[in-house]
Amino acid sequence: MRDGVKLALERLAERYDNLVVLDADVGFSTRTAYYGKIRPNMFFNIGPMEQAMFGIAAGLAIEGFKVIASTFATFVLRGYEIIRNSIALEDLDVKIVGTHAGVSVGEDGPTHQAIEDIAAFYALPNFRILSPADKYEVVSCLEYAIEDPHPYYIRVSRVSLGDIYRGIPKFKPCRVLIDGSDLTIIATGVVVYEAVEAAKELLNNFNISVKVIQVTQLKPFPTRDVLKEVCGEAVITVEDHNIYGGLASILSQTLLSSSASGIKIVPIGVPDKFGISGKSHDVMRKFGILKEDIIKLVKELTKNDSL
Amino acid sequence: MERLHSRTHKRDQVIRKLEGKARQIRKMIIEMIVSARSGHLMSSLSPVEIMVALYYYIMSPKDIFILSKGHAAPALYSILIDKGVIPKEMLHKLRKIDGLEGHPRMNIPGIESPSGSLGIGLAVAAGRALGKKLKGEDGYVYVLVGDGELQEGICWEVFQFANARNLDNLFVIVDRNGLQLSGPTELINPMEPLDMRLKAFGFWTRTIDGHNFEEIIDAIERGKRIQRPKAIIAHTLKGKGIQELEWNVNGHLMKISEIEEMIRRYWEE
Repeated sequence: MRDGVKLALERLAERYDNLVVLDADVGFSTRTAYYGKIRPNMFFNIGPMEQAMFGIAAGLAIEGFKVIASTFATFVLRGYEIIRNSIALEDLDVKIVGTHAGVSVGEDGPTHQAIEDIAAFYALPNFRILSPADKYEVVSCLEYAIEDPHPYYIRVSRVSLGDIYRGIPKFKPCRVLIDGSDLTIIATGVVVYEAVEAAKELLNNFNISVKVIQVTQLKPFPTRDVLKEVCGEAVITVEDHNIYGGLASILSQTLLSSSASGIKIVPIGVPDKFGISGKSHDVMRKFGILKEDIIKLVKELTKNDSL
Repeated sequence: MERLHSRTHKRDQVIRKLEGKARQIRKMIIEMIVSARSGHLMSSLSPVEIMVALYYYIMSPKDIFILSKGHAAPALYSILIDKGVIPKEMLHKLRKIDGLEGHPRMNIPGIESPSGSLGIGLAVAAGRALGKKLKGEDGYVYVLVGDGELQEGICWEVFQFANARNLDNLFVIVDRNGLQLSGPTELINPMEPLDMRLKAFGFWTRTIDGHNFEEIIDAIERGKRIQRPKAIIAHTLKGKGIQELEWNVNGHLMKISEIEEMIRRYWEE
């Protein structure tokens, strides 16, 4: 999915001559280094100095530049207080791209697998949060965010399990990807693909009709649009993030304060544990956030009217 | 001989004026904090000469000043009130609702960076210095940091960055008053030799008496001739201006009523 960053920066470089991209020594992994090849005087790898990077980003934004500051999501959090007390506090025009989000990172293990970043940014005033599902959506998210002069946190995975879109989609805070009626799955990020595949298999093999809603904009949460589409008596949330503080929590809070508060919510995500090293797919299987896990849960929820 | 004499005479006049301004600003700071019954009096008093030199003599419209040592906000606010940038009535509204924020915020006129959390103003200063260079703009970014503040790691990250990018439009001024929140700096985290530390990080460094206008102005003028990031270590007295507070570690723990008594005596002298 991170290849979307390269594609986005190539396109943005053509549109903006005042875009500065900051990196903290991981530009080849996050793909921001490609911006350095197109605009060498506007790309700064400052080395692994995350705290300084976000303060410098704030200064550049105050000077009128468009700023993208990027590193691994876990290391974005090293600069969290700096972000909070400059970018968030003063509502500055800085886009923070946290790559390698979730346990799907795989081999590098838990120190590099952010499972709490959505939670961290959800509670920060002024921050918007975007969570694209594939490399094409990374582009539309970045292009959308750049136009809005406020702080954004954009969460990108290292891997992609499959593309959702065939080209760069129009930006939408949420989308119904598959229509259905028995039950709703709400998914975000890299695991949206798993939700879509699960829904297809459930319909074809088990005649269970599941609606899949993708949420791209986690904050501000598109409450009205999501509530309008929720159907059936249960909602399963799917995310490559802790079940606490991410999509499941956001949705729970949203539903509880609405007329849909009677709906049962069952979260699929990282069960409040740190990740482990392994191949990406193996790790995701271990934490139960793949297609098979979704199918199993849907079947449990729909058998014998257990709803 | 005569030209030299008149130049020195002119400089003397300037210095007298600046010293008078410093006294005035100190009075405003005291009034502001006593009115608020809250605030960092000692920390606001130590950098007054530095800030007066900058705002009333050194800075041109192309330059900016960032108070990274944000808790000295009363000093900056007083100067901005004196210059008519912040409305006069705010002198008695420090830390009050609809008044002046306890630490600088950018929606206050004349404030160039948020601060209050140590080291952030410094990082913003470096970002702004870089930004000015990218735009081809002249002008210096002056940033005041505390010595306790320099214990934050982010400061040294910023110095590495300034060195790597040769931000020669960045002037870091250290308010070296030797005290931090919980006591003397040298008892908590010995910082000497501070000048060697800064030099090792690539900064042209000068050490001065932070209450001496001649030395402040001279150091900055010298620094401008150097094509490297610059640091000035300004030795100061916390609480400067009120004798009993100068170098009093407990100064900031005193009750406002005790301080009021001290100030009353000071004013009457």
